[in-house]
Amino acid sequence: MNLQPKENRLVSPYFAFYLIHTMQVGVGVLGFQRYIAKSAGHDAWMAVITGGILIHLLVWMSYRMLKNSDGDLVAVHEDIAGKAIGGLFSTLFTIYSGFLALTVLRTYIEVIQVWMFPHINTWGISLILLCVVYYFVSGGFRIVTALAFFSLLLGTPLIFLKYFAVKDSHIYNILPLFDHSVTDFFVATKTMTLNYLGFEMLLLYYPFIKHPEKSEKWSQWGVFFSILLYTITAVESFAYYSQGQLKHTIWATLTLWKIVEFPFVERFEYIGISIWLFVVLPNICIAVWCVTRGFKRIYSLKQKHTLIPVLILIFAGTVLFKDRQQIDLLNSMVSRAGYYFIYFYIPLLFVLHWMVMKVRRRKKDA
Amino acid sequence: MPNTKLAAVAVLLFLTGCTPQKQVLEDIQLVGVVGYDYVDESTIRATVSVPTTEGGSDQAVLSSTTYSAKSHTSKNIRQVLQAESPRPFASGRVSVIIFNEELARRGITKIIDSLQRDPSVGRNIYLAVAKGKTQEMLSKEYPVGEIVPAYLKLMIEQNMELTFPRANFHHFNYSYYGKGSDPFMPLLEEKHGHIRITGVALFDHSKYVDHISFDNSFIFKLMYQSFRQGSHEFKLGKNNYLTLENLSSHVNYDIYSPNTNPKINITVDVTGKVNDAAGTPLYQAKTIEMIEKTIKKQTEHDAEKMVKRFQQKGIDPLGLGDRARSRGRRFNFKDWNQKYPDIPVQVKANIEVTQGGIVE
Repeated sequence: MNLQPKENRLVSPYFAFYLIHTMQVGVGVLGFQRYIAKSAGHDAWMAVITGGILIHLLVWMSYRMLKNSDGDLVAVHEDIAGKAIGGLFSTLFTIYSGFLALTVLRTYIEVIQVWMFPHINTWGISLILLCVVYYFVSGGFRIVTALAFFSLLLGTPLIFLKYFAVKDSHIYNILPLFDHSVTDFFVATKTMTLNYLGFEMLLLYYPFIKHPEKSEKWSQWGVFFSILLYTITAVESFAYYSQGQLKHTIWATLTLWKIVEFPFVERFEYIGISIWLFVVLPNICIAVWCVTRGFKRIYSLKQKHTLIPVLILIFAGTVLFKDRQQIDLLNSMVSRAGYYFIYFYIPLLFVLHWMVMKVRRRKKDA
Repeated sequence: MPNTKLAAVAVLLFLTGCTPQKQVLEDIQLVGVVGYDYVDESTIRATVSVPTTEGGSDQAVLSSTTYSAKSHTSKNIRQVLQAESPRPFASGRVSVIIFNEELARRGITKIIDSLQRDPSVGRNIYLAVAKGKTQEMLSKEYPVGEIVPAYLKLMIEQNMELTFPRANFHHFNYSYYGKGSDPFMPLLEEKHGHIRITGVALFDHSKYVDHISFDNSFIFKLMYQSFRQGSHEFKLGKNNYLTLENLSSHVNYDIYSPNTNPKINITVDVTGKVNDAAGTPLYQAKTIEMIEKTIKKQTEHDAEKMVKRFQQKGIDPLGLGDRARSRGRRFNFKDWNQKYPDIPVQVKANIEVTQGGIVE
């Protein structure tokens, strides 16, 4: 069965930049500061950089794997473990993508409920957003990519809002450098990589990039841009908040927007949260698309047919997780799964695949 | 698949019924100022000042009115207040929050916590301590051409541009939750039919413990932040005063051995002009030198005295601990707090008078 997508379904290599970057910047940016500061305090901003460098490495590994298998994660799994067991692992990854979409959606809805409309029903807003997701995902991968592009266009200017906080910042807050133990630093790095999750979706949409081997540098630039964004956000937040204050602030980025003042808007955070929908939407869309794509590759189910059941499951999930504790639990569960996936599974897969390929090549030669 | 499309449209249409509660500007009351008064151990009284318009749409007159109620928790007060209000209150435009002196002395933790949690309360709002009851202060009318909420906000705002150090809700939280610094806020008093800032109210964590006079707030600001405006009066000789107008001032902290036996040098560089010095010949280089010397001496003396006072009270509005933390590895706040009252602090002021106005 030839599963290579038709050429009119492909996107140019440079779109990898948008796909990787938008998937990494989601609801996490709104409040990651407090989590990384928990272990490494005012030094945690350096963990943002080291965490990012690890992601660069993992992207490099993924590309080596994908190039050799000439396909996607499902093909890699088949190369290593055969169709049946490989399919099982691919299914797990697909389910993980689904949970990623659910987490992003539920967390964003929580932000809306806490900050803007405390009376809004979870199911109502979830249904509306999932209708929009259906609209984009059913349009195919190119539409989802376009959405990622617009998301960057709309979301990135928000970084300039940090300017308003500069006059109330004490840059000496991040001094002295390297004031924490190596262990603390590693824990913060680990926590930080969870924010970079999402790039691994590349393993499924890789065949949809035209001349995929050319997209590697764009993907790496995408990761680099994410690191830049996260680093600026972390440094500015650490300079703006005292460490004790940061501990109490769940959404440090959103609270920072509270200081923004324009003559025509008194309270910018409401507008910021609304704009953030466009940052969150491609996250959900890419993940949902990957779920349907995964099922198509493993079980040859039509994406059109799996999309609605997947959305219904996600919808049920958003209603199921009710309060802060449960949402926090969902977040930490998905983060942990992601953590094991990128730090243990990808390197393992990389080594295994490399060995399998070597053995095969030798067989071919012999 | 025309059916699914139709269904999608139908769903979107019906979902419009799920919109959250609307808040139309005309149907709510935007609270401008909240004042909290002490009643007894477990009860506080809140007074809100709300802008209102009277008269038709052509000749609307803006005025403000107050509602007041007491309760045990600050959020419940809202319910009680609601009982006498024609429209629901909204706290999105609160610009000033005032605590009555007695309440502030007993600690404002509860109220701060509740304000913190409310997403509709901004961070660039001002907190203040008031002498006397806030209920009385807010319910009076002041002939200043502004309604009470706007009056208070503008007054505090413009003073923070000048001689008063910057202190809003964010700054308060910064010191309140952070280690190594204590919050401060303007101290307000109603006098001769106006509200005026009479000083800087200094807090020990959540409790108001001391204040410095408005005259001295300039000296405090010199040490607290670098800034470009404000003026201060210095004594030149017997019955001879002059005013230094600050053009730019810059402060720098040198903290030596913060972990073991700390020593702090505060250097303040001020460039200013002297406008008001009747009888002093400002064209002579010698006089200028003399003036600079006098100002320098007085600034250093006053500043050191002020820091000494902070140390004796065990409060740290300048954030010396926070600054020391940034210079010392594995900084220990417990140690610091023990040493704090006896740390030698030296203030060095470099004054430069650049001009004396447009006549000689």
